[in-house]
Amino acid sequence: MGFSQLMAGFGEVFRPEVLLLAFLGCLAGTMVGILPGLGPVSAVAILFPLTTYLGPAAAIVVLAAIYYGAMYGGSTSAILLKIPGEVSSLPAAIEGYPMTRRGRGGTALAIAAGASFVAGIVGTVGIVLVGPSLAGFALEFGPPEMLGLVLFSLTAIAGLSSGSVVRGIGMAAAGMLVASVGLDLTSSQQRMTFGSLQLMQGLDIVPVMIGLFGIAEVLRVLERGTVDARAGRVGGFLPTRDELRRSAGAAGRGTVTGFVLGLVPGMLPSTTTFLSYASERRRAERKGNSRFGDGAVEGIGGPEAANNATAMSGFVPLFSLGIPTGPTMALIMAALMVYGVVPGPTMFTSNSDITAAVIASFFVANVILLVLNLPLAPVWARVARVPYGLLGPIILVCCGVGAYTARNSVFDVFVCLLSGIAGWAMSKRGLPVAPFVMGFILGPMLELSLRQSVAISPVSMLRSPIFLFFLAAALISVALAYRMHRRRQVPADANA
Amino acid sequence: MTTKSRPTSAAWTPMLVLLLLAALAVEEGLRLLLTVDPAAQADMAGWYVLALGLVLAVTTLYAERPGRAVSTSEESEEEGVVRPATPRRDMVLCLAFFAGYAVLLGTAGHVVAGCASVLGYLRFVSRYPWVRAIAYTAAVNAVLVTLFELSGVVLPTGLLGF
Amino acid sequence: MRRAAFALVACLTLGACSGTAESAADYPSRAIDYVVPFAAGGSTDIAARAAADALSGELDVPVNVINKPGADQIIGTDSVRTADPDGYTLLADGAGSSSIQGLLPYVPYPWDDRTFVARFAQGPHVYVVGGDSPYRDFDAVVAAAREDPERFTVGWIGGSSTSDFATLQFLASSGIDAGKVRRVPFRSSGEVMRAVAAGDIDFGAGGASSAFSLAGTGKLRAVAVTGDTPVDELPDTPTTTSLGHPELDMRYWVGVSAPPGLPGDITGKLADAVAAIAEQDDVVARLRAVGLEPAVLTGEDLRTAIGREKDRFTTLSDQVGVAG
Repeated sequence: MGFSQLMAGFGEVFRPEVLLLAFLGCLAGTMVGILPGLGPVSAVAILFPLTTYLGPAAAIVVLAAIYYGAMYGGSTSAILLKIPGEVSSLPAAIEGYPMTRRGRGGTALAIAAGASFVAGIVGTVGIVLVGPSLAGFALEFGPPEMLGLVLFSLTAIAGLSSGSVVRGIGMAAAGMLVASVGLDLTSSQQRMTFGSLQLMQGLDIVPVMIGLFGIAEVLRVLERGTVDARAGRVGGFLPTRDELRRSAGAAGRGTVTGFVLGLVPGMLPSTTTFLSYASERRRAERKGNSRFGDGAVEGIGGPEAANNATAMSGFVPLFSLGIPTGPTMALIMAALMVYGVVPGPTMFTSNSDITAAVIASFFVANVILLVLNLPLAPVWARVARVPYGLLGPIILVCCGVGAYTARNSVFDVFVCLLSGIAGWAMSKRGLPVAPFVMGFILGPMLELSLRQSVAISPVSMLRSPIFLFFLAAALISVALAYRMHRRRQVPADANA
Repeated sequence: MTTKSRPTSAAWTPMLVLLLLAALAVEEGLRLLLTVDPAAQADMAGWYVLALGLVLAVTTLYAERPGRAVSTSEESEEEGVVRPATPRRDMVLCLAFFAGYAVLLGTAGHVVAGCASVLGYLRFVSRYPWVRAIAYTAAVNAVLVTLFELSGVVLPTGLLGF
Repeated sequence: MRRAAFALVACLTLGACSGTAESAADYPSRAIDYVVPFAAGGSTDIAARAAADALSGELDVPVNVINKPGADQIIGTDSVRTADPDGYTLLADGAGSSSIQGLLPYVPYPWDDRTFVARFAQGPHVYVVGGDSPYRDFDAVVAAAREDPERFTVGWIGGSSTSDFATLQFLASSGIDAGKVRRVPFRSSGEVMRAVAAGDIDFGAGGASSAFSLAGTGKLRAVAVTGDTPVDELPDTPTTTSLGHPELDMRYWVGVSAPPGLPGDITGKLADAVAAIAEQDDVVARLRAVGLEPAVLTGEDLRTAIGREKDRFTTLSDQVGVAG
């Protein structure tokens, strides 16, 4: 796609009605995303039907705006209430909420918005510049390569847990087991369902996660009480020079890794954000001045940037090959197909006017969101001052709605309830939740790619250099985690 | 707080729950390996859960024994924290209202479910007086229902049609 | 009790009750739920949404598409089956939620326990090989698979989709033992297409629209579409009939079903509405965009056709010795 076409695309987007749609999409996405318990994937799925009345370019503009808006909004409720609507805003909840409690919620929001913005703009440029040439990457990643990447991700994240490596592995295994409930894809055998029809559909990550974090957080507050609302000052939203420097570096790293990994089908923002979080944490611990777990700005900037960059680069395989990298991209692909626009190479040739308009709209949506969110950061931060006695039931209802809408299933609301109790018990006991969630997400991918690799040829793994590379990386990562844990043992025991 | 005063039963629970999960996984794995027709290609499905169950069992036995596990939840007393008077009762009621929400959602519709659970929570967990609880309930639900309507969220309507 | 009364009062301030009882002549008087037993975004979902929009205009009430995915369509189907037979809960039916369920041992209800109202669309499958693969056309793939079935890898989506039965039909008609070929599991036909294009597996089948994008890149070669009607988006692909294999005619369909015991006059009214919208230009355009053609069938004919389909699936599945 040439420069002139892109300019024409900007011309297309800067018409009042398209700008208005982008703005409304951003606003709707932010509103849905900010409701505790609802995140980007839910928002796009919920608002998807509304966009089928628009033209193809406008539909994509609005869907993308909703998607980004919901990511911003999701981070907001994660930082302020510790209730992420999506796995990808979990790091923001872990690191942002302690800042909120210290009255620096506005800063955390600003860092999240800034990092997302940078990643969004860099991602947009990335799509234009390297998009077409990197598209083939999606085809390089067959089952053995995927297996390697999933193994590496699992070890990197399990090794990260705050307790011990063994506990992290155990919780990851528990998450993988819980995710294996349901019909086995290949053999159609029931696993762990014990004859229950409801269990046969398996457990969805959304209600499980909403329960583990949202409901559990409400329980924890009821148990321990909250910081008196008047005690914590909301404060300004400008980060200090040191915070800016640390988060900017993390955002830069997050952008690059998020973008590259996002080109791989199946690599969802939820995984790349955690990889970024893990690497930032490890980096900080190596330097020996880690504030992770207690409001480290790197833990907000890096993952938030990775999140947005992955969301961006997912458009590359979609536009160039028609390969969706995750459920959100599948919805966007469906929106295109409804209008007879088949994603593929024609997106950059005969349909390039649409593509140019869409890419321009990503740019515009990110600007709108930054303009919308930076001034709003102190306003949103006031949400934390609403008495918890009133906030509690609102969170509860939103969690219920979020759990229900994932699959339109009342059963999932009960799953959410049980997960809430489990999440409370886990935090009470100091069992790490993050490896559990990552096991839940990566487990099915691990099993599928393993079985695909074996079905293609039992030795197919050994012939893939990418698999061997990731396997080595996984082993090194376990060794590093173990060594780091031992080194940490002495001071960690002192303040655990 | 309870972990300190009554260490025995509470301390064993996480380990036992995790071991139960591991045992179920091992059982399911063995069942798939041993009883299902080989033509169904279920052996891999069985090995997968069997292996995970064993990993979980080993790590649990190693790391979750009451004497060994470090509970990190006991946080130091923070400035300005208002300690609730009856945490257990509040938590149980909160869960009950959420369960009530789930039950009512499928039967009476989302508006009734939302109103009932928010009102119950405000009155009995947050202990607002009736009048304020009702006023807040009406306001909160009006806002939430409007938001859901506007954004196209389709929720169950129940017998009353809303 | 006091709380419940208060709750009711609070709720009544938010909206008025609408009527609950009515006669069939007034049908429909309120919003209809149209349950899609798949996640949003697939071709059944898109067809169902096109139909829901048009039906909403035809019947003058909102028609809400509700996705209830999971458990081989059992959850969505069962939620409609057990709903009141009043015409306000409908199912976006298809082979995966009806005839194929007749073969699955774990379906907890009789597979045809419902009122089949109407079918409005059906579409062909496409057989694909990799763009860089040595197989240039249909006959070349057949020859290769016959020669060494144990090294022949095909995409497999759990055995409960029409795509898998299209694969089975292909193997059966070529005289290849389906128990011998390597079936590689995938979650969707879209993922099968990616794997075939990448050269990870030799052969795949899927709904025609799943191949549109990659076939355009040249990385995927569509060797045949099932049936006798070519597909516009796959211009160079011959039909199985033109290749001399009219027996390869596996198609998937989308329709409207209701709980068992739907009153006859409501069934008739719905069937007429569905038949009417299937002729509307914008509906046809939206169906074609995902590789479907309007194909209306109602009443006993529909039930008979689905019964026949089930028998064919049973035969295929037995013939190749594949358990569900």
